[in-house]
Amino acid sequence: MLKPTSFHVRHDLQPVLTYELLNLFLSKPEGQTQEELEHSANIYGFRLRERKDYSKLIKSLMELDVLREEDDRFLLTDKGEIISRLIIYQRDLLAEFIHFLYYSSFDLEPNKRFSWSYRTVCDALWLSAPSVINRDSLVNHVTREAVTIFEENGISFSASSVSGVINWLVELIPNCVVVHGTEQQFVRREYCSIELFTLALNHEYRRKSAVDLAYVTIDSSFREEICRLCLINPDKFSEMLSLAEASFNCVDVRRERGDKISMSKFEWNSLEN
Amino acid sequence: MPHSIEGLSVIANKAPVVGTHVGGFSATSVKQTQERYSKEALTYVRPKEISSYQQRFLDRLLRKKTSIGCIVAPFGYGKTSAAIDTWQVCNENKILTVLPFSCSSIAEMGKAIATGIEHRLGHSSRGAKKVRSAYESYLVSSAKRLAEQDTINYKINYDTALRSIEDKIERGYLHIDATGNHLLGFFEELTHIVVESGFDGLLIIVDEFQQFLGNINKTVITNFRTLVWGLRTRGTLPLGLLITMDPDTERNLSERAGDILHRIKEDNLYLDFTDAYEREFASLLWTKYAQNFQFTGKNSKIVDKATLDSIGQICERHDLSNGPRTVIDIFQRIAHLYSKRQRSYTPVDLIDDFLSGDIRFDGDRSKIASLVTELTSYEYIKTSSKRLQALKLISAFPRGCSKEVADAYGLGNVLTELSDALRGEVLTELPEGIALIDLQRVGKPQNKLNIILKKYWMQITEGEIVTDRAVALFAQYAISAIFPPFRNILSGWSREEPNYRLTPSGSYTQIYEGSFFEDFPRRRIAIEICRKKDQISRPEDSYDFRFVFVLQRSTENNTEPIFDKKNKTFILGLRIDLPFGIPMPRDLRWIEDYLRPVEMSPAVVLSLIDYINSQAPKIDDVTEGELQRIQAYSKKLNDFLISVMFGPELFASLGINFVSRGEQALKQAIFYVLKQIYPDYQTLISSNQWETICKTYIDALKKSNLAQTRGLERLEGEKSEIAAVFGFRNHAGFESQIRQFHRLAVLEDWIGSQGAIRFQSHIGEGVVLKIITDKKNLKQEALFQEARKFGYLPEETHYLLEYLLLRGYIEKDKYGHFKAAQTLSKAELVKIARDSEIEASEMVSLVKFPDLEDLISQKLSKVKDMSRLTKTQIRILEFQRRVQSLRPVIIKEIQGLLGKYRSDLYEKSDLLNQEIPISSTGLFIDAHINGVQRKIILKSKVMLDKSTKLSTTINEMLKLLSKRDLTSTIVEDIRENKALFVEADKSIAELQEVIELINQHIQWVQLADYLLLIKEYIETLKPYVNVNPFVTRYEVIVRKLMEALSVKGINIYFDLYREYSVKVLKLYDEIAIAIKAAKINDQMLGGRILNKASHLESGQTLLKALRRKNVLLKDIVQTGKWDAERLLGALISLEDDGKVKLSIISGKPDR
Repeated sequence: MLKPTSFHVRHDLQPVLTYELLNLFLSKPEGQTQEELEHSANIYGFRLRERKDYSKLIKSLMELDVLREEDDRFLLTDKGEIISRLIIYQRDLLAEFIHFLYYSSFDLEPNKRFSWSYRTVCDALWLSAPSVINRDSLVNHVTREAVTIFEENGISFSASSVSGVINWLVELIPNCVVVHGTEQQFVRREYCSIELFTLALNHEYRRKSAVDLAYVTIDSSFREEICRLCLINPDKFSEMLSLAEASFNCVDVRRERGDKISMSKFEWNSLEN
Repeated sequence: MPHSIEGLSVIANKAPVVGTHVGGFSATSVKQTQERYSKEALTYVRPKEISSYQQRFLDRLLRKKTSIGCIVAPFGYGKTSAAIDTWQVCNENKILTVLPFSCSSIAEMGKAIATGIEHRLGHSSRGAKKVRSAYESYLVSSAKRLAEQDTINYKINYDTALRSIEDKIERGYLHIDATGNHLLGFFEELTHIVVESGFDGLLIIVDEFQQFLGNINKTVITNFRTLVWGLRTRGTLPLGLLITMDPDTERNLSERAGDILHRIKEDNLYLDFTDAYEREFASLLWTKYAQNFQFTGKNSKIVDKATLDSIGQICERHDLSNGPRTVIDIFQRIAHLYSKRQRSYTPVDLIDDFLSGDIRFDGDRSKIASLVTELTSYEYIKTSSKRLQALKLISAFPRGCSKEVADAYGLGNVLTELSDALRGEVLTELPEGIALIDLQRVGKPQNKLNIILKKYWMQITEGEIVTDRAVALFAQYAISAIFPPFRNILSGWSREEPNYRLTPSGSYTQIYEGSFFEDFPRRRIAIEICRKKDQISRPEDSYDFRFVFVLQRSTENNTEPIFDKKNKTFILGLRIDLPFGIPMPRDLRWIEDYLRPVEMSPAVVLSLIDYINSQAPKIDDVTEGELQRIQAYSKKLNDFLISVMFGPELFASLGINFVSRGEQALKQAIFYVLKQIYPDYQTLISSNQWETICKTYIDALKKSNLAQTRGLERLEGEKSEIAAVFGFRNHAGFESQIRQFHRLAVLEDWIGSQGAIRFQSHIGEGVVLKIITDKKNLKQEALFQEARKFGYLPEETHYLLEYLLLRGYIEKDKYGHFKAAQTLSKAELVKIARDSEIEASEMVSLVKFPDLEDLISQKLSKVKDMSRLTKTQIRILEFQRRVQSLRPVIIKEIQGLLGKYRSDLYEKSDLLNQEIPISSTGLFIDAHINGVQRKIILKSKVMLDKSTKLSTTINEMLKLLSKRDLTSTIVEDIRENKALFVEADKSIAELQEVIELINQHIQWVQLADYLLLIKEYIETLKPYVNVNPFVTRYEVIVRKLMEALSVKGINIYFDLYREYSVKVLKLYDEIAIAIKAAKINDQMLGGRILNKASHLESGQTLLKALRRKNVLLKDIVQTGKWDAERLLGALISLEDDGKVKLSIISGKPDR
């Protein structure tokens, strides 16, 4: 296993900067160096100009498997290309995709501990919703959990790490973070994008499908996992499932003797069809 | 060939799936399998995907490339049929293809292949023998080895052992551990044999590969991997291996050994034809059946074209069917029914069969059956058989049932009726006709938006969509979304007018003021929208630039994009009625489907958004959550619209390359334009507190000298001092605080207790300076306008001018004109230095300024070395500036002095204005005294005139000084006033003289009075004493006085007074005392007994007087002589009888 990452979720990776970066990368499939990115950002008047150094942003996107490095140049992965093409016309999907990647990466690569942190914060918020977002309390929670699960004390996780999570939650549409006076409050959403829901289905399906099982039972734990990931109300699961089923051929649901699902043919590029 | 009816029965009795041969071939099984396969091939309809796949496979084999292929499809989708077809195609092309088989082990596979080839080559042929030998060698030899072991171990006969083992193998009880390597070697050998036998290659087709894989254990995977890898390394062998499997197997294999599948996919012979069966499959298959079973003539009587299309529409959907299995199932049903009914099978029949379950393969969820069951239970439907029929008809066409089809079944009118009644709820209109919403791939809307959409669809017309209203809608939804509301000076926008303004040319215009970019704050962007290019209004200066959007129809001439830099105008043509051409976001596709046949174009979406926004609040019982959801849809439509309308293609023809779409693209365009028109602009507005920062900077400049403000020298000193220059109380944090000045002040040193900063000019100062230099003598307002052309706002230019003034690069004259500070020649510098020295000298003559004295002493006007012109110039200009700065101080000093002089003059003049007394004693002296008085009066008059004039002069001077323009030298003022001071001093002195003369005169008058008194007192004393001594002395005084006055007059007024006043006053005193004494004596001697008290009082008084005057009363009384020494003391005692007795004693008076 690769060396574990830090638990810290970088708050540098903000939505508007990410959007600009992905625009730039999509425009040059052959990849770009940091200098070339800076030059382009200056030409287009991007907010990226306010940063002197993009290394943290790039590193975060690499950790999320959106970017890769080749011969000292950075370019989009296949997943990154798909995301970049989709957000060109639907900018609101960017937060959904990045949220999904942050939330799910730990399941695929347990060395990505920042993903574990991200998910732990999201789960804590979802479980206690509706609730005021108390950053200190979330820091304490993550820190305690890290001791329990990883037996690690004194992890690098602070309020700015929580900001790294909230940065993305506030961008989700529909909102899950609402402002009441001076406080931010977390609420479960009534729906989410079909794309996020489908990604969540696929992710959970892959986790739960064993060798000989083509279909996975949609039980309560399955539903809850999906709803947690998508930050939606559990009673909206069925509605979202119908929408996903109608939108993607590869979402195959059988309803005899209990609901079962197969995501056999789903790949990321299914989102573009 | 069977005739029609028989053909139909063949179809009717056709097995649902094609069985694959399992295991090895015998002579019998080969023949049977061949026949079976051939029969199947007759009715096989090859989908074009499979056709091209086969072609690719064949091409590779014929080019002698080892090929591995894989076909994946669900059960019943025709994998075996495709395999059989491939077998036939390849055989026809001289590729020896083993009959497709399935197997469960390598041994079985080997046996099937070997026996298959053997029979193909001919059992007795040389090739067949070689095949058998190879089989023995590669796959069976291990059985021999096992037999040898058994012979030893169990002590049995070798042949018996071998037979036993082979028998077990054959029966499947024993699987020899033959590996992939053995199989590879075997394949290779076989290929050579086959080629030697005259074929171009060998193809092995293993069907139902999941049988071989079993539970996909490690051994199986290893062998399979070995086989696949091995085949790939034998690249130039004309050998092909084709396997088929179902999706579950593929998925499992993908999870356990994904690399193997990956390798297989590399040859591009991997085919998943779950979706290969398109709509036309049913018709094509039926046509093939009709040809093969010769019922072409009756074809349409058995099943009509519409029904075949309906079957195709259903079977292309694997959520509504099981693909080709369903097709076969239906055809079997058709065949079965025709023989009984002898009429055409209709779409309604199809639906009835779904409902009755006679169509077994109707998809996993029996969706059509359950939906139709539900819908036909509606009262509205079930009470009318026509509606029932029409609904069933519609159900049979997921892509839509056209009016023509419905008419053909006599249900045209009912279709229309149902469409109107159930539209939006149950039915939708697709391009091909009316369809059930629930059979569409997109989901049914979950909110009340469909109510709005239904109303919109019913009322909207094309003419309504693309009208001038499109302009207003474009402004409201497409443009306003780009400019978020104002938040602060660096973010957000405000509108100049609440609504867009209609111009005389017919366009609509608005100006937005605000900021997208921190480097271009408070810009003014005009947006103009029109329908035709000739409606564009003339450019103005009231904005930084403008975007003109020309909204056109597709039928109109396209407006090419134009960037007119000179007029700061960007013209973009947008085809408002052009369909988008790309799929809408998934969560909006149902809206698109809902509104068919209306095509989604910008104009449609604009009108739709507007309609949704206006209607949503009016829906009955709409909840807050539903309203929010509707608003979310509206926003998503808006965002999509903007992203489609504004993209890189809009600007590409101008050679401008953008990378984003939507709002971001327009922002990029705005940035591009701003950079083009203001390439050298650098804002001063860096934060909300920018003006405070500018003012602080100005204060810092004012506290620094010219060399420092220009950056020629550093401002050095204690850290606290430097921080104080910038208004900070202490220097902690100064290093970061200085950054807020954005390089207008640069920290060069900050070590220990010392620091140094250097001032730097702002790039804008250069711009403003150039304007001033070029245009000459501009007033502030004109400068603002000129600087605005370079991007600088008036408020910025104001501060830039201050900086320039303080750095000495420009000057402002008394009329408010700005001009560049002159570049001075040596002569000019010398003159400035000299003038400054002169003025400074005059100044220090009035007020002491040590630094000025120091500058004077430097004698800058005489500096020889002008090589360091800049430094010298700076010193001289600094001197000049210092002198100029002191002008107000000097003027104030002068005013103070003048004020004091004026006060003195007034005061003294007042004294002169008092009455000068005359002497009226009747004595000789009156004439003299009064003569002097007349002279004094004359003199006073003259002095008063003089004083008045002087005071007037002083007042005028003060008035002048209060209005004095201090931009010019005040040397003359100083000199003039110094002369005035001298005059005033003189005048005051003269006034003082006259005042003293008057005082003296008054004293003379008093003296004259004294003389008169003396004369009178002498008369009074006569009865009492010998007054002759008094008289003598009096006369002497008078005579000498007369003589002196006659000769010297007023010239010796003062001296005479000093001389004679003593004598007169002394005489007076003595006589006065004598008078008193005489009076008392008179009273006493008059024998009058005075009252005791008054006596006492008189006596005490007299005693006091005597003691004061050292007068001896005795002498006064008796001798009349009162020499002071003799008149010492007097004793006055009060007798008991009340008489006052005066006892004169000599010597000093008693105390």
